[in-house]
Amino acid sequence: MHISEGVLNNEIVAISSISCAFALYFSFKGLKDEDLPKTAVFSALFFIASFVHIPLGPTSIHLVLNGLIGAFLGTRAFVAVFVALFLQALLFGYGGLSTLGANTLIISIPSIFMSFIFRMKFNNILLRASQWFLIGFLSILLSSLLLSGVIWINGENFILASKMILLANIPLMFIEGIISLFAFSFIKKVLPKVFV
Amino acid sequence: MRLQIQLKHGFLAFLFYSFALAFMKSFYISFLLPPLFLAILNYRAIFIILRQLLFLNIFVFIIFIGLIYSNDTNLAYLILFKSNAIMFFGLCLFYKSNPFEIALMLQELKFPPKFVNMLFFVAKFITIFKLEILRFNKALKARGFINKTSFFAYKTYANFIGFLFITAFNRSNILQKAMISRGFNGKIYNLKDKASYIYMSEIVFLALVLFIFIKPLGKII
Repeated sequence: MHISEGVLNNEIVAISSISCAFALYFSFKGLKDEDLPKTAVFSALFFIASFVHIPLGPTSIHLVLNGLIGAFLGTRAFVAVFVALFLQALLFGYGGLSTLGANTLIISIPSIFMSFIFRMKFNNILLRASQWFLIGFLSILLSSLLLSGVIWINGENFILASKMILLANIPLMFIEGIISLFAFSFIKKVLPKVFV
Repeated sequence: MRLQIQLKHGFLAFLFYSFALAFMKSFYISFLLPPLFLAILNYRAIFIILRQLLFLNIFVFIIFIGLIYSNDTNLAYLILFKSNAIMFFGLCLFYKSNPFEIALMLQELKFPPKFVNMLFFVAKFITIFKLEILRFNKALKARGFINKTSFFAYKTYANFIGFLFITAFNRSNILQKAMISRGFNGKIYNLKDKASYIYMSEIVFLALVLFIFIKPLGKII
């Protein structure tokens, strides 16, 4: 889900970095001191998701959790994702500094949208389960589409690579959907007040 | 001469190097000098760094294959070299760092306090969550959990994620109350030595990072 250093062309690096810097400036400006702990704790959770390896056939994949984080944080997910990606870029080399803007936008925009889905109230159990599944599934689907889109517009020779990246992310969409469904039902049982 | 690169100076060099190299349309052999300089400084951990670099190449490899099949060999190799040079630079510099050191480094570099405070809080929570993950893995092992592709395995992991979210809510409430009760004024203080100094090896390194972009040598692609 992270675009590596050196992959994007100059225009995309410049536009994504500047857009991200502007969005970050206003996000931090609007972030009150009392909101810091909650944003930080979810940022840490996003960071730590890369340590949780879920088995998938002979291999394993790590979770992203941008849907769950966006559901609870709303627009503050942008700051949370940026900080976690910044640390991941420096400590593990995931993504990078020149692609930090693009990666933040790719992961945080779908994440913020998930808060709208989360706010919808359903009494029907089946509809609620679908809502929880979709928060995990759609966040990865939209992020993958954005990721492939960015690679696609990088140049006409990148079209094949962008298709391969989209295909590679399909299993993750379903796994995140399932994890999201069960995680929400666990949280609903143990801490129902967060759903009010 | 003391051969050492402080994190703050290394970070500034890395920031410049990654953006400057990302904007380059050609690759010169001299671009490899700063990462090689760092590799010499960290020669004891070189295999750990190279193993991590190999893992990071999965995404680059997909792009590389895509470009090779699209008959754009030059661009494929350019991206391969650029990506690996930048990633190797970053890994050599930060492979033994932790989130607290990054937060301290940014505080020294006078980054906005809100961003630095956020990083300190994130670092604290990462430490807590890492311990929870260790405990969870031990519990799974003790209970004979078989880690395979199954609905049961996914449910187990999902419950753990749910548990981490609940821990996150509780921990953030505790921190928020602690901030209020201690009269948090937006500043985090530390006992680190405030004296600012620069080693000769750092001057050489920073000059090298600048020089290779002013006068690149030995064009490969």
